[in-house]
Amino acid sequence: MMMRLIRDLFPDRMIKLQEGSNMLIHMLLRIDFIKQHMKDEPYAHNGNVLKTVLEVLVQLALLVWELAKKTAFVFAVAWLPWKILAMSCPLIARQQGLTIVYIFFILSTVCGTITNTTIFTMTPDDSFLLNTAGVNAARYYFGRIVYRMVMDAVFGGIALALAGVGAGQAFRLSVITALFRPVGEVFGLTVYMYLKEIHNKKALYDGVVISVAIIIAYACPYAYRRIAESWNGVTGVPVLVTAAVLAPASLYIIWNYKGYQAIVRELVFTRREDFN
Amino acid sequence: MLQITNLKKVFNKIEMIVDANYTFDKGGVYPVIGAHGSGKTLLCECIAGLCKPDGGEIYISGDGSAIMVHEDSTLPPYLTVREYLGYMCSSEEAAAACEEAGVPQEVYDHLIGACDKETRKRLQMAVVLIKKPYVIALDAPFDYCSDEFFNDMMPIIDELKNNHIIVVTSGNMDVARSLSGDVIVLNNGELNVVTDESFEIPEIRQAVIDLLAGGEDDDEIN
Repeated sequence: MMMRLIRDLFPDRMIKLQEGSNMLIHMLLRIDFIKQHMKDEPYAHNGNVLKTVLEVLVQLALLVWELAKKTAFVFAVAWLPWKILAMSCPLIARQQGLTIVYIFFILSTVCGTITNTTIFTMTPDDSFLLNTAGVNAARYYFGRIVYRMVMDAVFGGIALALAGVGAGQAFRLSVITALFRPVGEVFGLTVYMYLKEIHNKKALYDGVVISVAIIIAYACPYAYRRIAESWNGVTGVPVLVTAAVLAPASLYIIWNYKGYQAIVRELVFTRREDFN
Repeated sequence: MLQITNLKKVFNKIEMIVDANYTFDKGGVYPVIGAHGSGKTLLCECIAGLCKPDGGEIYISGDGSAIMVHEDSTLPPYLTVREYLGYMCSSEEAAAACEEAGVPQEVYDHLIGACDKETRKRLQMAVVLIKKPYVIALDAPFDYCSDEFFNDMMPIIDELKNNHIIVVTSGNMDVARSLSGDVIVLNNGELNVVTDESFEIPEIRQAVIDLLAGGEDDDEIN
C-alpha cells in the first residue's frame, strides 16, 4: 500500500529512476565485455541486482544534481552579488550572512514562490502521465509540490550554509521558503481562476515581478550601503509560525482542487504550439 | 457522437484545416483519406485534444475521452513495455491487452525505443484497449504495414467500433475502402464524403487517386 501511495504521488520520480537506470544499462551494453556477461533481460526487474543498483545510483545522482542546482543558484544570485556589493559597501562586506539571507528571501522565498509554480509547468513526462496514463492529477501535483518543498528545505539549507549563512538560520530560511511554496501555488491557482487576463499574460506578469524583485534585492542594498538588522526577522518565529499555518491550509486546497484537467489541457495546447 | 463544426487549424502559418464539418456516430469506423500534408494528423490531434483549434468546435459526447494512436510513435524510448504499461493498469490487464494487440511477450522487458515500428503501434493499440476512450483516432496505422499487422488489428477495430467512434486516417485508398465503403476525403481543408456508389464513377475514383498522389486540387470531390 505504501508503494502504491508513492507511485500515485511521485510517478514522475519513478519514471526518472526507470529511464535513468535503463539509459545507463543501454550505455553499459555497448561495452562488449559487459554485454557478454549481462543476463538475458537486462532491463527486467525480477531479481536484477544490476538494475536495482543502478536505480539507487540514479536516485543518488538526482539528489546530488538537486543539491548542485540549489548551490549554484544561491552562489549565483546571492553570494556573488554579495561579493560585488561588498567591494564598494564595507558594511555589507561585514554582513555576509545577513545579505545572503536578504537576497535569498527576496528572490527565492518571495519572487520564486510567486513566479515559479509547479502546477503551470509541463514536461514530456507530465504529458504522458496526465494525458495517456491518466494518473490522478490532484495527487500528482500534490506529490510534485511536496517533493519540491523537501528539496528546498534540505538542499536550500545546505546551500545557504555553504554560502556563509549560519547553519541554524540557513535551515530556518530554507524551511520557511519550503513552507511558502504551496502558498504560491494557491496564489497561482487563484489568479488562474479569477484573474484570467493576468494569467494569460503570465510571462509578462512574471517578468514584472522578477524585475521588481531584482531591484529590491540588489539596488536597495547598494543605495543604502547596508542591510538593516531587522531583516534577520525573516527567519524569526513569527514568520516560521505564519508559514507553518499557511502551508497545510494551502496543501489542503491543492489536494481538493477539482479543475486540474482544464489546466492540463491548456498546458498541452501551449506545449504543442511551442513545439510547432 | 463526435461533432466537428467549422473546424479551422493553422499549422506553421498555413491554414491546413479551413472549414471542416462532420458528425461521427458511435458504432462506425470512419476512414479519412488525404494527400501527404493535407492535415490528417492535425485533424487527429484536434480530435484527441492535443492541439487547440483556431476556429470552430469539436464536441464529443459520452465521457468526452479521446486517444490518438500516432503514426510515428511518441512513446518514451527509455522505458520498457512493462514499465510503460505499469503506469496505466495492473500487470494482468497489461498482459491481456498486449496479447490481444499482438505485442510479443518477448518484448515486455525490452526498451520501447528498441522495438520496431509495428510493435510500437501494437503497444499503442494495447493502450487503447486498456483505456477504452470513446473516440479513437488512428493516424495512418495501416500505411506501409505488414499484412499480419493489418489482419491482427481488424478484429480489434471491429470489436471496438460497437461502443466507440473510430477515425482512421490513411493516404491509401484501398486501405480506407477496406475499412468502410464510404470514405471521408480531407481536401483543401474540408471534409467531404465519397460514398461507395460514387467510387463506381470512374471520374470520381480517378480524382481521389490523383488527390492522394499529391496533386491537384479537386472539384470533382467537392
